[in-house]
Amino acid sequence: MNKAKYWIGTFLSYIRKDTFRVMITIVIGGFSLLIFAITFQILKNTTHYPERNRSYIFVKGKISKTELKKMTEILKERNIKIYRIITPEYKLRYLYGEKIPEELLKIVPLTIVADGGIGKRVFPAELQKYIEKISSVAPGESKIRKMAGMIRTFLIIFSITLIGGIIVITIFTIQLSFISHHEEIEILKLLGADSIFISVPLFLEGIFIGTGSGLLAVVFFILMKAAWQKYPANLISPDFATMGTTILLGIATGVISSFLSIVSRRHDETG
Amino acid sequence: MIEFFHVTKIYPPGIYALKDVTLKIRKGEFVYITGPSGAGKSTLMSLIYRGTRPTDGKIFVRGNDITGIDNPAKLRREIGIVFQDFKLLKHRTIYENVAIPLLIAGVKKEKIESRVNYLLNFVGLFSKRWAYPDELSGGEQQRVAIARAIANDPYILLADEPTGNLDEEMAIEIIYLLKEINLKGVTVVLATHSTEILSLFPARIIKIDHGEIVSE
Repeated sequence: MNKAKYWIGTFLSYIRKDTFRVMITIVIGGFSLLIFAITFQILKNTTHYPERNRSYIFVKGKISKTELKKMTEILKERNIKIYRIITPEYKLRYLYGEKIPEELLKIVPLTIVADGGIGKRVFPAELQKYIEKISSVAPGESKIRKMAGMIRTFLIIFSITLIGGIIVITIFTIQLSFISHHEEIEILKLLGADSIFISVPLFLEGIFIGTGSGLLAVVFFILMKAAWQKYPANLISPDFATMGTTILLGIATGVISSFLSIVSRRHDETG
Repeated sequence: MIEFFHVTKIYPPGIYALKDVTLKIRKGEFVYITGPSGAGKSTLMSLIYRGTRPTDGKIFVRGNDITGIDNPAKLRREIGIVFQDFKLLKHRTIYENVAIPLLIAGVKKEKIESRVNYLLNFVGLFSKRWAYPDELSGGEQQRVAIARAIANDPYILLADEPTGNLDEEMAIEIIYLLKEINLKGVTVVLATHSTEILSLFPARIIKIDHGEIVSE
């Protein structure tokens, strides 16, 4: 028997004794982290939108195939790639994860998203010289940008609130664990155990809950993606960075919760 | 070894558990703290291992003032404590119960094994080392508690009514064991209200009543 073996054994016995409470916390944490992961993915997919030299070419009325071909050629000559062509018929109403307002689609039946790469822009005069139907060319549409900004701000605040919520719930679970094992902890104190010796199994419990929540969120995310193959799956499709960040965040919330509950417990006892 | 200077302990809302107690227990002594229930025996014991703080006065253990210490963990590692209700960890084996104070003290794995085996042989429970506390009789559980209390070679062994839950035969066995430990040089302070024990195993007696030392 050594300390590590004792701590792991104690931690496992705590988990066994409080299985229901721990599992409930993991499920709540899992759902909260899933929302975080979706938010994170959306933010990630939209973050670079204003910085890229993408131009939005808004076209008045219907455009013929010949006109579109001509315009494509001009862009190609200038080494500008067409990233996406958006029309109401195609129902592609998302640009880098941001929804285009219905009103905008009514006024502007066609939008060409052109990617010029760093330092390159689509110049309206040049295009308008050939196609008179072009109403305007903008390096990013301000309305969309403003909306996207608002959505992003809301999502960031919402995510922070959710993470705060997970931490509070985990702290509450660990505090309950303290109460549930009070008798055992008191015996250990009488035997001369310091707070580190007593707290390690509870610290492990917090990390277990956090890691479990993170992993569960990733599993939920993958299942969601599998069940929801089409639109807007592109927007929220989880990548490794998002999955890794979600798991790491789960572990971090577990560590923070354990630390805070142990510190507050010590404060209660000495205060 | 243990010194009390004008120690008073008042529990809210103003109940005196100890009143101006001054006493001295020397190294290697075997001392009974006796008196009726509620006399203040357990409070006195608790003050020695800093289970509670005195309201007034000073307490010294091995020359160190323990009155104001915030963290009693180190002090408790040097004192063995035995309780009436044994206070064993129920979901741990007998072996683990005895090994835990050694783990807390940071003793190495190999040394823990040999020390625990020695202690369990000493209290006659080596064959039951993989049993759980609930599988043992009261007397056996108290022997485990004693083995655990002396695991770290304490200077002082405090026994608070260790025979309170045992029949006479088992009680005598336990006192024999405590006497044997005392013979090895450990200061033993035993709180009891059993007159049989006092007459069977004579030693210094400190009698407390209503929180005051009434005779020595």
